[in-house]
Amino acid sequence: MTVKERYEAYLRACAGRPGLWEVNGETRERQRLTAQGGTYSQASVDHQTVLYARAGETSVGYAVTQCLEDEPEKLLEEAAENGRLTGQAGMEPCQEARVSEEEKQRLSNPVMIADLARQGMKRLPEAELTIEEQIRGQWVVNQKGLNRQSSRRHFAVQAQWKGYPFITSAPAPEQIEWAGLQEAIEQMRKNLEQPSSMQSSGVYPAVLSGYVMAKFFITAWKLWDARSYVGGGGVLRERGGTQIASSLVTLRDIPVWLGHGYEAVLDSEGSDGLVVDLVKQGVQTGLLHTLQTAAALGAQTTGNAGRTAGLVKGYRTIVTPKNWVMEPGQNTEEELLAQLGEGLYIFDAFDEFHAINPASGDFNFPCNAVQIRRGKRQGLCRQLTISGNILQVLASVEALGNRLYEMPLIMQDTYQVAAPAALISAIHVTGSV
Amino acid sequence: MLTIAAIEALLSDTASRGHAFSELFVEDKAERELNYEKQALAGAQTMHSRGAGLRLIRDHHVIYTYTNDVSEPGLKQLADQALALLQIVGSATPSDQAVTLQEIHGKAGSNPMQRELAEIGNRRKLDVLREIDAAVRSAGVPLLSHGVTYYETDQRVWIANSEGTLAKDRRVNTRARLHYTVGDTEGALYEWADFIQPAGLDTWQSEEYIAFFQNQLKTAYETLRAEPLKPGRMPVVLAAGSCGVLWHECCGHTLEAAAIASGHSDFIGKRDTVVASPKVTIVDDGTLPGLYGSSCFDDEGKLRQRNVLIEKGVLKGYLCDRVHGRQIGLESNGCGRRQDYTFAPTSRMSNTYLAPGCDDEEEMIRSLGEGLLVTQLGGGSGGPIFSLACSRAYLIKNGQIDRPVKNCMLTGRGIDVMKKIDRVGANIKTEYGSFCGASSGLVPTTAFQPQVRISEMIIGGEA
Repeated sequence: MTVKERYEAYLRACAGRPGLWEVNGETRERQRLTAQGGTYSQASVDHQTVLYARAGETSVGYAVTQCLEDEPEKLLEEAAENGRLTGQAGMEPCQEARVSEEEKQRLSNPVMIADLARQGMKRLPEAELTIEEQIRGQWVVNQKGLNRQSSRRHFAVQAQWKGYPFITSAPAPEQIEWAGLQEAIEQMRKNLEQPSSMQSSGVYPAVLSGYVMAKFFITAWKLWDARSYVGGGGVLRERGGTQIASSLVTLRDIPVWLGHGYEAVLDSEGSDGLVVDLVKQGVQTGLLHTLQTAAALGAQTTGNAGRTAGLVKGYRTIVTPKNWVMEPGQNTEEELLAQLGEGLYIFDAFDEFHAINPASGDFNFPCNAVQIRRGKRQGLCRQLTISGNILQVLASVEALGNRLYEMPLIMQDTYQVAAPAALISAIHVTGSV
Repeated sequence: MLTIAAIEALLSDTASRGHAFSELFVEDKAERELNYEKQALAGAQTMHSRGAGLRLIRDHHVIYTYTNDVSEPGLKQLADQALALLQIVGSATPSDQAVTLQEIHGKAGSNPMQRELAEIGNRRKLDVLREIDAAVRSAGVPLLSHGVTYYETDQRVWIANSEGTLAKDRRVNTRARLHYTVGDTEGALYEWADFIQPAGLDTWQSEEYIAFFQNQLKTAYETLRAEPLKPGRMPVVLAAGSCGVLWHECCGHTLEAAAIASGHSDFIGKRDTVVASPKVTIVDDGTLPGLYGSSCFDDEGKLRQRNVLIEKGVLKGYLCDRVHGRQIGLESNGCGRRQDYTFAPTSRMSNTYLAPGCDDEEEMIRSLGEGLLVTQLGGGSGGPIFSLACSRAYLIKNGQIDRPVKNCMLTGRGIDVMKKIDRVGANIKTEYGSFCGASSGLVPTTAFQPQVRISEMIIGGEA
């Protein structure tokens, strides 16, 4: 019997038991190969299954285990005991009586990953390449008849060049967009080739690269986390249906983003992942929900219950995005620079987990930039800081690039953001002189 | 845990078939979390992690595999997959290699625990949460919301390798986290703060943690009411204690062998040359008792040690793990660390500090016309160019502390900033510690110092 089958059998036997008895199994199988200049350096393969239980008759407690050989009763009773410890009555919302199952995927022969790395090394000879295949599985079973499972595969390529990561993902090896990586590296080369220059402080029009915009959203997506609104807080409260950004701005969270990886059909509560319009043509339209936030705010879940958000990993489900996408525009990055004329091209920013306040959107972002004169790159300026609020940035967007920069959440690999370059009318810059 | 015989058999098999150095990291970890909100226990969670990571190293090739299926078939599958990958990256002729493990012992006591955490029971743990909650409510600070969480971690690891090393370590820590929003209708500030003890709960004897959390709240409210600092360049005084995170970010990461080997450091090829002011001596020491970054062994089974990185401004050494140390021609010095079995180890810091100098702390401020005094740094990022958010800072005017300021971000190139240290105080203060995140996950660290002055830094912030 598989681990899931053992829990299914136990929970079937619990049918009719009062309260909630539920287990969410999250599995990850992954193989990676790192290569550069015709040789391979590192490789890894891993398998991990983590079981999250929430259980109790009158109040719900939580327990998590990686000890797969333990009896299901042990985990569920431990969760229930934790619930009894709190002494607080109250059930949590859950999905009921839904059954669905996708065929379990298996990792490919590692020789195929090596072939992919060889292709990559021919196209990107200067970059260190990491090729990854990942299968993420999710199953949720409870005593109320919920029994759902999904299993999705994706491939990702990270090309590291001069310390900058360039990433793309795809559901199949033949769909990997090598040309996009090549172009992104060429753009970065042009920036780094510029002679060093100094920049004084002030307010300037600027182009923020897709890399910088993605770094904003890897933290700032939390402005759309419904949990922030449950207690009456939240920066966007009472702004639903109003214009909060330039009409060029559309933000979406997409569970299955065709042509890209990070597919997540089910969330950790067994709900279907939905496409969520968060901002549509500048108008605030939605938030990301779990069953619990939806119940608290009188909304429907959007299937965004997960376990990891930013650097936080939870026992209970928390709101997490899937593929957080800022829709691209029509312009190449060179066209955006021509349109900018005079200003700064901010191509690099760092410390996104400390530089941005995820509750307010305020930021003080250390960055590097290239000065733009008559639409052309002129000088490279390091050690600048841009400051302001992410909503101000979104309100001042005048044009968007046509290529998305993809950025998975580091270390956890549980969601990704993608954003184009943006031409903005003004941003405050602390200069290097 | 697995038996010694099973580990010896696995290492003999992988070392022979792969003709490689083989290492098995086995982990068993129990964690508990209690959440206290609105004067009641709001949640209780437990977590049990168990798994193993197998690493094979041959020439410059490294294979890492892990699983939480630690049954014999599970580990056999792990070994087969690791060997299959090793064949792809570079084949070699197998050879017989029988591994016999010999346990090595170190000094006990870096994570003291008089009573097992399970024996203490939840009542005492709840008392800690209630005491903190009561202290928070009586701190005299307008609070919009707050909550306290108690965490405990009991990690047992075995590290065994084909050279015959077997190291067993136990790392226990207890932690309370206060998260809070201070403010009123005119504005609010959300923060969290951790009080950490690398020890069992029975070491929480004094009420030091009460004073710690009350001070956090009071200074948070002061910061909320502060004016933003005008950005620019000015001298910066960093207070003794946790402001030592400066050294973690401005040179610690770039002194890691992984950064040196990958070419992403300003310290490449600079051993025995001047890289900092002569007032600067930087040490990383994983043996210091009672500090969060300490343990008996590193995560490669090497005894922790004291490593002098910079001495009186001269670069003396790097932080080395096995793989990256060898890539730069050095042996490991006990700095191979990882969060858990799901990460391969790499070179990491532990307790990093600036050694005390002999300058007068009051004079450092008194002799400045204008400057910034930072008493607490938030997070930051390292690399040749680093950044640090100031969570508590004060403007200095005419040699006096003038007023609190907020929204300041310190940035600079580490190798330049270290040359601008013009004062180092005589009184060093340690700190409770935090996590450092990098390619081998989150590892416990501390960073501390005596009070120091930097003659000029770039300070970013609001206009």
